[in-house]
Amino acid sequence: MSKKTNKSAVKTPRSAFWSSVWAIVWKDLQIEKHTRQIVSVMIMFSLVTVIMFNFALEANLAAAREVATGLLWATILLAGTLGLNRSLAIERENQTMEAILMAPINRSAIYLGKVISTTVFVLILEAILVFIFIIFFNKPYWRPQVILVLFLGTIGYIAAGVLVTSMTIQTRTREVLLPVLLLPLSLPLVLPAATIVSSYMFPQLPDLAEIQTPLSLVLVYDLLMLTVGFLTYHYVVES
Amino acid sequence: MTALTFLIILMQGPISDPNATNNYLLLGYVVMWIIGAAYVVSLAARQRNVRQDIEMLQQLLQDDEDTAV
Amino acid sequence: MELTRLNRNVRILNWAAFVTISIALLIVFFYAPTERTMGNVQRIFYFHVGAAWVGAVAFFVALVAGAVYLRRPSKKWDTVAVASVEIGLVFLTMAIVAGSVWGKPAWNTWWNWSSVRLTTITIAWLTYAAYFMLRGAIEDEEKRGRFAAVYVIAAFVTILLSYLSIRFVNDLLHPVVVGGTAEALEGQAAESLQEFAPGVESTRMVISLNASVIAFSFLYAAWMVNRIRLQRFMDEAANLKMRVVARLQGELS
Repeated sequence: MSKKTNKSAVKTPRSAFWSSVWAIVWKDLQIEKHTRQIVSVMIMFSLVTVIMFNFALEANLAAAREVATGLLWATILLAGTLGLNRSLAIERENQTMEAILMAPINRSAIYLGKVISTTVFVLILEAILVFIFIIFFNKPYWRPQVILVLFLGTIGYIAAGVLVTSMTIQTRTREVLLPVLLLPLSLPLVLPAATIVSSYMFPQLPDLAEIQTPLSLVLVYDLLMLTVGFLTYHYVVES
Repeated sequence: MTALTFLIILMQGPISDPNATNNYLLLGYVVMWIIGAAYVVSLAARQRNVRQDIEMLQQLLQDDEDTAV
Repeated sequence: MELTRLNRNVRILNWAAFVTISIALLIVFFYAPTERTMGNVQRIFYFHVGAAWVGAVAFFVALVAGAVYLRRPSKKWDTVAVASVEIGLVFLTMAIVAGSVWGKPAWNTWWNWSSVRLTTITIAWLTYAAYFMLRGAIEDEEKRGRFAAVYVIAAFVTILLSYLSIRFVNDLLHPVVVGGTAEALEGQAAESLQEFAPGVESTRMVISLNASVIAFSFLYAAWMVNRIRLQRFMDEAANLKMRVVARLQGELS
């Protein structure tokens, strides 16, 4: 007993912050493991989307292969809105958000926790999508640089997404409003990211000078969005 | 002599007549300022509507007070 | 009330805006040097850049107003944010349209998706247009101000990235002009995008550009004052409406 109180007394604010973050991530992962509502919805939606696109482009296979990267990102963006909606709606439905807010947890920790857990879900989706795209379009999406850019892009997208979704689920129009707000907001990230991925689709690897500008744009976006979310999440969830 | 004339003409530069694109210049400015003017008009219209609303509402409140008394 | 005093200052500002715009127009049409490769249509550039630049400033003002609102929730900061976003959006529209018209004779097409700058500026436009959809979806005034403030801060990232990409992405179609220094201009001449004789003509270009930016700044200030004033009237009307409704409900019960 005394050992336990000793431990919590020694806890620094910073470690308390991070333990809140991981607590939220763990909670979300556990819930998803049991209910499987987020990842499965995203995967189903993505499959349908990819098949739909394939139908649309079937007449012109060459065109399909050319726009494949754009298709990949579009699918991730759209499926992502579903995942974001679900992830934050769960809190609202079960009123867990209110419970979390009543505890003295740093709001920014909630934000980070949500970003990390939702990113994990979308990354799972992307793993499946990459696999599908390699097979359907016969393009080297397995390249490590591509994976890295997908990873970085997802972080930025979800960073903006959690912030905006937390707002839209509190509005009258809810899910309808999210794509309208989030998609334009995330395009400055997706465009350079797609450019980088496209440049790796050829047998010859691009040199660093080609990709350093779009890469820095992606990184700048990630940093800025995470910072904005971190600083302002408090104002979005307070009642 | 002819060779020199040719050379001089060639050295003129890419465009000989700067006024060739004047139509676009005019179009660009006109469209830009139509947008600006449209905004000013919208401001003025909203202002007028709001003024009318306020008058009407104040009138309603006044009438109500008069009948209450 | 203070309405009469506002009227006088507002009128002065409106006139100042009108005068500076007129002067800037004269400067751009007669004083600015003629460009060599595309002729007179290049003169659109001055107002195109002026509008885009002041538009970005407007969005920055909105960001500051939003940040202050979050710290100190008072209606006036929310009003400043709304007014600034609205006007910034108008300026951005003007810049995009002017750029498109300038692009037609220069690149032989009205639009060009492969121009990164065009695309990112359009994205910024969509982002700020969505701001009004967000506002429209929230009924509670306090929540609306709060969410709008957060959104306007996040949205500015799109502006930053637009201008960063214009600065650094090698986009041959869209020339880089930042600050309008003589070196930047000569750099452009080297790219054969905008060609002027070095020296006097470059200076004239810089002056014309500055004149345009100043004119748009006055226009921004004038429009801001008018828009904020309009908002005050609208708030008063809403207030009166509430009182009328309350009175009617009181009578019914």
